[in-house]
Amino acid sequence: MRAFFSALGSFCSGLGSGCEHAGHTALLLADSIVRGFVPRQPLRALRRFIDQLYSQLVKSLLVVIIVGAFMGMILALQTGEELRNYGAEEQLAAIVAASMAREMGPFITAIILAATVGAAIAAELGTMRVSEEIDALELMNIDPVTFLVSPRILALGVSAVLLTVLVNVIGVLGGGVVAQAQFGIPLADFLEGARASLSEPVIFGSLSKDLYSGLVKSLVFGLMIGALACASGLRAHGGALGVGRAVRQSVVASVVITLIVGYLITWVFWVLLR
Amino acid sequence: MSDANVPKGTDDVLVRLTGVSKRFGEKVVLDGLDLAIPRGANVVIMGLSGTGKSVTLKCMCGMLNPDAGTVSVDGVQVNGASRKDLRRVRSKMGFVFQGAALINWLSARENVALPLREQGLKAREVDEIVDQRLDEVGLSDIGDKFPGELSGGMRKRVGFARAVATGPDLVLYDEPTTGLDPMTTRTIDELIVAGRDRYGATGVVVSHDVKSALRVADRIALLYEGRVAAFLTPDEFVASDHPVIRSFLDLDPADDGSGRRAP
Ligand SMILES: Nc1ncnc2c1ncn2[C@@H]1O[C@H](COP(=O)(O)OP(=O)(O)OP(=O)(O)O)[C@@H](O)[C@H]1O
Ligand SMILES: [Mg+2]
Repeated sequence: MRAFFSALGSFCSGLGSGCEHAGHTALLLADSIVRGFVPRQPLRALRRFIDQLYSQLVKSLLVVIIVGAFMGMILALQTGEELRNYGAEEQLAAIVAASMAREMGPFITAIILAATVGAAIAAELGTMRVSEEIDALELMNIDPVTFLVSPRILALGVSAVLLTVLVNVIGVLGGGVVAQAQFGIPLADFLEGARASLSEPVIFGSLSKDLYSGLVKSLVFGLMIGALACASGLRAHGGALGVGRAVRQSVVASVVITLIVGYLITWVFWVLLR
Repeated sequence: MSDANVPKGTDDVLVRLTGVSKRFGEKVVLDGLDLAIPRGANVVIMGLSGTGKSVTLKCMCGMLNPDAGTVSVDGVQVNGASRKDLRRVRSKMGFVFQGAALINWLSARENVALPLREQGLKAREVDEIVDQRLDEVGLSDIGDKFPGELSGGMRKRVGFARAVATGPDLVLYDEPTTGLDPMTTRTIDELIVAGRDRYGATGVVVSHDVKSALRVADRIALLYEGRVAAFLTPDEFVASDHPVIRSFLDLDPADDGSGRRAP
């Protein structure tokens, strides 16, 4: 009984600190976006943003390409086998393209970013926190949010969108290769089918809803992963052990929240705004 | 006791702590501490490990807020200060961290340049001052190295150059010589004295090291049981018969009564 209550107690206090962490993360995100759009020193802010964007893309590009290609290939293989039973192989391109654009592209990109860039950010800021570098910045009147957090979070939002576009393209290409090899669908036909399915219904200029909803999703994922990573890093304490804890916390929270928020956004786009 | 620690007249006091108390959970660290740092002097804070020396230093720069009492720097109350007041106080303050706390992805030069850029100086002026500061700490040839490529003593010297870069009125040192060899310790001590003589800065130095304390201090404050138990000139310190001071001086690890041993 006592064990139960102490477990309940630690669960509740865990929940409490989790809520506090979530609140802190949300504040950090809002703060970063505001400061990103109204920088005090625009040139320096832009430079920090571009540095971050570049290093984030370098860190994740290779993994994204490999995973994206295999994702498309698996989708095409699995779906193609099923479609062949109904003699509907000509639908394959549309299904692969829509799955990549709406769900798989943003999701895969987010998971990879959480594990590579997010983990790196949490480790970097966590190390800076435990070695008093963050304190040193504050004492020099350099605001850590402007200097460190804002460029990282905003760059991660942009990275996520750019990499999602790349994953979609590579995934569709991978799917096309499998379609030709396994189901005898010519690559050109497959790509034309994918293009046609992604070009309507059109909202916002030339973007179809499939593409548009996916890109909004990945922007949100990127910003959230960035905010979670920065918040975990800044709150690290207790030496190297604390840095490790911050990294784990950041990756776990990012993956879980990506799934939950992903579901919500899908619901908004495809149920609420149907 | 508070009167004994506070020199007469208010205008020659740069930092004043009055009745400062700070606890973490159950543990009372500072318990009504009074301390006045005279302008232009180097004051060394000594005390056993865990007596709250770092906490005292962090209260002076607004990194920690005391539970009770007031901390003022140059007439501005630091605890509970507005962001703007805190910025103003900190712009006249340098902090030398125990681990140097250099930003690890910036070169030594860029680290020293950080506070200067923040004050809005032009690139040319920044370069000039950085060259001069690195030269003063004897490191003009390692400016392009990163903190990870420097030895502990070199990092400390870069940290010192960064702390005094903007010509602050007050420099806080957290254990500047702990863990350094005697030669490097002497170099750092000379820098602390130079901080006072060359830049006219007031220094507050947290230290375990009696030899270096006697070299740099105008006054030595002994922190004991949450208060300043003695505030003495180096000569008075050497002659004191306070048991903790004796244990520091004799380098005899005498028992201080709490089961801990003096360093
Ligand atoms: N942020 C904090 N949270 C909880 N406890 C703290 C915190 N900072 C300091 N303490 C506690 O306050 C006490 C005094 O710490 P402080 O770092 O000031 O000691 P110190 O005199 O600098 O010792 P040392 O010579 O070992 O550096 C210690 O017992 C420490 O555990
Ligand atoms: Mg300390």
